[in-house]
Amino acid sequence: MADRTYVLWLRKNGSVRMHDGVDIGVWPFTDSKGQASLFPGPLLVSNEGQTVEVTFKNNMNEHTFHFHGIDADTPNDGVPETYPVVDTYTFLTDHAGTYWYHCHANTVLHQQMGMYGPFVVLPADGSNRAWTGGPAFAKQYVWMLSEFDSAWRLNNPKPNFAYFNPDYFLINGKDGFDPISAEDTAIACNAGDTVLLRLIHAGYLVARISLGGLPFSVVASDGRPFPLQETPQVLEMASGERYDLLVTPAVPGTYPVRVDYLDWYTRAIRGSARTTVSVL
Amino acid sequence: MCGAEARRQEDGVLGVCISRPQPIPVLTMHTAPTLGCKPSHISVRRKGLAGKRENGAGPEGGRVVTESRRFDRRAFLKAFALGSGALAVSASGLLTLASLTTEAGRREGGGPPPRNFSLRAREGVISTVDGTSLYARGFSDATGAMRVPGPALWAREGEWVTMTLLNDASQEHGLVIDGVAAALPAPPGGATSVAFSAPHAGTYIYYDPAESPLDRALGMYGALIITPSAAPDRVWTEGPSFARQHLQVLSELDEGWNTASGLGAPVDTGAYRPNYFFLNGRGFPDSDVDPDAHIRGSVGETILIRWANAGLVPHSLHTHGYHFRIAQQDGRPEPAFREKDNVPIYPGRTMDVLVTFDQPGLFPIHDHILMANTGNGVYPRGIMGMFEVV
Repeated sequence: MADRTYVLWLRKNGSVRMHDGVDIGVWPFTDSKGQASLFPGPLLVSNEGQTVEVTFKNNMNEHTFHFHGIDADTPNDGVPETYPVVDTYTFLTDHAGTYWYHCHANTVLHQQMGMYGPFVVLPADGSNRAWTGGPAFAKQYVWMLSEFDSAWRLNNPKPNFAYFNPDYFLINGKDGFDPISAEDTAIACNAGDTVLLRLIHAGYLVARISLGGLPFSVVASDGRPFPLQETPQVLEMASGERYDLLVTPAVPGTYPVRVDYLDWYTRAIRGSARTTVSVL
Repeated sequence: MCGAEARRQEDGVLGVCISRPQPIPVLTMHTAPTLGCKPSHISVRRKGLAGKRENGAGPEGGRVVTESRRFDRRAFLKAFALGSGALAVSASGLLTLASLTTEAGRREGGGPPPRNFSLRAREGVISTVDGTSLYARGFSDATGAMRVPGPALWAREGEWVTMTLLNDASQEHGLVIDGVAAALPAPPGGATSVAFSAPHAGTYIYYDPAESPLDRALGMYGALIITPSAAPDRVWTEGPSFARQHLQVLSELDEGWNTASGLGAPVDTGAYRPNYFFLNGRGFPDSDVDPDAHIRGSVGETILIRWANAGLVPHSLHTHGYHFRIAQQDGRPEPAFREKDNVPIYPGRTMDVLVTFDQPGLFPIHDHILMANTGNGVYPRGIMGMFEVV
């Protein structure tokens, strides 16, 4: 019997509005039938040591869930190339940390279409710590980083998925030249508070993250604590990686956050997403 | 500076030895490309344009056109001096192979007889996962056919290594291992050689720097694996041990570059649009026949995977079923053994990771930059291998 049970529905006719008014087609999830879909998908949470069951309700044999980083066994790993497609996945979450789920069928397209969401494993007691016995925090945020290539949504000409030319650059599904002010993205805290920022790279270009000069510690990655905390000023991350950052702003103010997405070959900035850290 | 090598240079034995390139001073968690591996670096190209690219201009900003098929020796040497901070040449001039293979040379070096590798630079045709035939340039061993990647070369730390390149191709070709050794270019029909003391245990990439990065992109690369001298089953001397090791060379190609080069047409190396992606030279599922791509093992075993990105773009590898521990990068131990399930390998860089099989199953190892999980856009015909654990 699972400790946590989730049911997800897929909505293949979704769209999200970009800053320039263009609607981009997505295939998002919702966690309750009849409710509006979410992009990125619903946040799934468990405690360390718990067994989780996730059911894909309207799958129709086309899609899977891969719980990225969970190290599930082959039947629950969601890879059509290794096991027939199933609708219900059961697995143990035995390491607190940051994970994500995404469709692993024709992944190059289905991930780009937004079939993903965050997955957080809390310490065994569910407390506000980065891991069981790890550093404590006052608030936590999850940022899913990704891009959209609108041409991949066209049938004519048929896209070649070797060529990715994104035109929108996102944090948690939003883009724009103005800082993203959404409550789940823009960080707001009091001076002296410690914030845990969970970064998940669900896009395809290398992303470079800076927090407006605020110092931060990288305490964990891919669901495992770092043996030594690292304190870079700029963090670079690639597709599929996760990093857990602790930031404790001491001085009130508004700090501009930038996520730059780098060209695969030249490393020139292809686009950026912006938000803020507001410290009272 | 390569310590032991430096001492030997003072003895006038070793010719060409260059220090390891320093990492660029950007604070990132992982290995950003070294200068020596950036497409902008070791190159023959029009002055003025190169600087633009290095300053971060966009793909449209620095149109870089390969000037000619001629290898510019001065630019080549200059590139090394810039990239490495030092280009040491012995008092007697550039190394000759004789200086190492003679008894006197050996005595002075104090080492065993050299380990000799002989490679040939060749042109040929490769077949991709969807059956497309493409012109390529690559290396072969002394007698065999061209292979992409070239033959894996194995040596032990501290051993004298000599590499001879016989140029069977119709262009000039050279041989470089970033931070370790560089052979001067050889004309068509000619030969070149380089000798060095095998560096710190780890995984290295040899490649042809000619018309950089064109010849590397056309297939002229391979791996050099250095094992600890006394303990070949360890990552480094006194480092962790492993049951078996597997080399996984990551690369890709832009069909347009290969086709143009086959026709003798110029290539704009400022724009690279790769469309075939390789694990040890193959896309999935062709890679299934390769025991280093489709890795078999048993529960309880710990194996070492050596990831070497010989391509021009980053690859972000994800393992299903198991996390891995990063043991070494670019021939340097990583004693923190950070545990991850997904990590980028930047162009020209290598990373050696330990995987402990704690459950049976069939699990992919693949590039999460998903364009590279395709063959010309078709999923999953790119960089994907498997663990098959019983």
